[in-house]
Amino acid sequence: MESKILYAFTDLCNGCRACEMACSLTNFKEFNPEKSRIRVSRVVYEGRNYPVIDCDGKCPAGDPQCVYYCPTGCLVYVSKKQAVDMNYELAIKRQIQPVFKFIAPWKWKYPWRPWPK
Amino acid sequence: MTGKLYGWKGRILRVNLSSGKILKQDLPKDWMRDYVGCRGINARILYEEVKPGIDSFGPENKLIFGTGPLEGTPIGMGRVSITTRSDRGCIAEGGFGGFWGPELKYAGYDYVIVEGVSEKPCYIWIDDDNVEIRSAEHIWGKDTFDTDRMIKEEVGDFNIQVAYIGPAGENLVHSSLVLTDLCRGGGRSGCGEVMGSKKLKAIAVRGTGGVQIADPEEYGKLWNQIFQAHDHYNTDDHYVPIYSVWGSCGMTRMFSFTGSLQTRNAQEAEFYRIDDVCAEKYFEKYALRGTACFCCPYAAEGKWHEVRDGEYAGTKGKNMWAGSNFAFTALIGNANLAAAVKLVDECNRLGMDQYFVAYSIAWAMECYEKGILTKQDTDGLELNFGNHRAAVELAEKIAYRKGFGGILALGVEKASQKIGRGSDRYKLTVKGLELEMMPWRNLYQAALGNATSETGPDHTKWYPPYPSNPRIATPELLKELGLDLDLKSVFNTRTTDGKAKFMKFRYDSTTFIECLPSCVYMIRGRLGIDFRPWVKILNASTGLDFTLGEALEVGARVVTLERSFIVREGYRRVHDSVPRRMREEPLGAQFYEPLTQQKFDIMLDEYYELQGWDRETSIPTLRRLKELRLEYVAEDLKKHGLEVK
Repeated sequence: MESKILYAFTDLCNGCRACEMACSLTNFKEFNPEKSRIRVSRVVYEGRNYPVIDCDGKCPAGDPQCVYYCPTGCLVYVSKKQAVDMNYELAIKRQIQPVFKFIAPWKWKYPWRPWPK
Repeated sequence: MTGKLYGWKGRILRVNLSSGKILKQDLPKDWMRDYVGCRGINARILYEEVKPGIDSFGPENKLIFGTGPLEGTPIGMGRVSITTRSDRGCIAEGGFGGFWGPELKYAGYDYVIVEGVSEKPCYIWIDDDNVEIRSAEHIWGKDTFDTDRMIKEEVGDFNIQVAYIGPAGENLVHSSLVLTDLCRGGGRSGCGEVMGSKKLKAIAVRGTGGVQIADPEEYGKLWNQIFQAHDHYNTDDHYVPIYSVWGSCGMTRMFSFTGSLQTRNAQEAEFYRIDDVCAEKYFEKYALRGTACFCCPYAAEGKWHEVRDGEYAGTKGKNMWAGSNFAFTALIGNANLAAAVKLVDECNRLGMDQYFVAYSIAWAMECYEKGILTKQDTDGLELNFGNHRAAVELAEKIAYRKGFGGILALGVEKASQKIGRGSDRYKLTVKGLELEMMPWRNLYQAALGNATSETGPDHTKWYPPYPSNPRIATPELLKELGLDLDLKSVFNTRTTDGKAKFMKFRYDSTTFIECLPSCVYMIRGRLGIDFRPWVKILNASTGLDFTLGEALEVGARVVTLERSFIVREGYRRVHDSVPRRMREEPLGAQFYEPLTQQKFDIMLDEYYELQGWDRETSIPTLRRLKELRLEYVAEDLKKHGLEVK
């Protein structure tokens, strides 16, 4: 079985830093972003956010908590092949539904009605 | 409550700008129990330290930035409460989300109290334990984007957080804001101009500590519970997907269909060009990426937007809220969405409140169309409804107090007094502050909430106006909450039944949530009116044992304290009023009846009765003050010659 890795689809990150909090709560039992192994680098003048990961995804809680608490589906813990597929899925879905600019299709599976003309 | 302090940092930072003295004080422990934090302790400090009748722009006034025990933890959502005395005389309270609050907490402070008036423009730099007042003469006059960038460059760290005012706050424009994270503003009831009067441009913070909590395991479980309750994919509350994925401006179309959209200065209830300005168009054309407050479970409530072509090309900014969308399209009759985006951006850069700008422009437009104002008054601007070019020009004039903008910068109430000629017929203000986009004539509980708010109209003091999910409100839960009410009466929005009872509950519970602090938009989703998880999470973080009843009592105590503050300043029952338009004119194509004074009085009597305030004057009664352990307030009110019954 191919090993899993933490991936971030950076253009989906909204910079909420819930991942930092989840990491520091799980590993250090306090809320301290300095100790977290994932940090969000925020470029406020462009509205862009980049999660910076220094972690292999082996979380004491089992599944990575940062992935669980990510509201947009930006963070995923999958194999390399799956990540490539997900990237492709995201690109396709974006062409038919603008809402996937903000949220991942694997977080929001609702069957959309056609886009109103 | 001995030994180690969990949740709170227990430190107040007191900065005197007149003398340059910086003091670090301990937070009294009995306040933590009685007022919890944030808005509660802010009100407590303000009531004690700011005397009635002072000059709000003078050195006696204080500007208080407050966080609470849950700040810096995910459920705190980065909320900060800013409290001061506004120049209208009433309490000015408002807050922003973003990342400034957690950073202050990580730096080791719960509160920052700014006193005195600086001679020259300055900003405060808080770097953990090192606090200094630095000169801001080179930054004074710059817009919020430049201010943010210049301070970060000067400090040499782009990961610090800065809260600042724009040019509007410096020029003491009515209802200007304190902003952080470029576009997250708070304190529309008058905090920005007080900060400007103190010549304080910004407060920059860097914190490297953490927040310790009493029971991390329990906290984790409760965080998960609240996170799950706001799962946009699997929810009972139809607002949650809208909020979560589309952002709050996804509600524009729904507001128009239900006749709740104040159109053309609230003369109409539906906007006939709604298809051109609704959220779908915004997402398709302008919105690019999501932005969020600290740890918000909603996926993309705010958006980064850019206008790339057309007249307003080059506009860059973020966060078009529901209110922004309503105000800059329907309220001023504008069907050009790019112009609305430009206006939002302009307000954020200049540090003005969007509701104030929109309502003052709409008021001027109505006066212009009715012939009260002429081209000579408006510096040659043709202020017809829908003239977005004039609106954009006027917004900038207001911030810099140029020409006709100088009159509007006083606020609609004072501007209508200055112009006269019957223009006050069209003003939409309560306690001197402009309304928000909440419907009055077809949502009576919102009318009651806005009219009785201590700061002037503010929906965040009581949001949401009905239980988001009626199924959660089982008889057992209602009994535990002490809410003896048939909820059907709350959904029947154009009657007076049960509104006061529900709004009393809303005021208490929302105030408690703001004291934690947590975001009032979190009382949504599957939990509905059930805020027991928030009480539990407060206990898990601090190690105390609050019960549900005590939590509601904290809310009631803070509301009554704020009421005592404005009563001491001379506000009475007559100031809890309904604007003339809502009282006299029927609404929209449906011709909904106006909310007459008679109907409003029925609700108001009942509300005062439930709050334990005097019916004739709205002064809190002695019995109620004793119940809430506010004896010092009763004595103080008596000392100022007020009759406490």
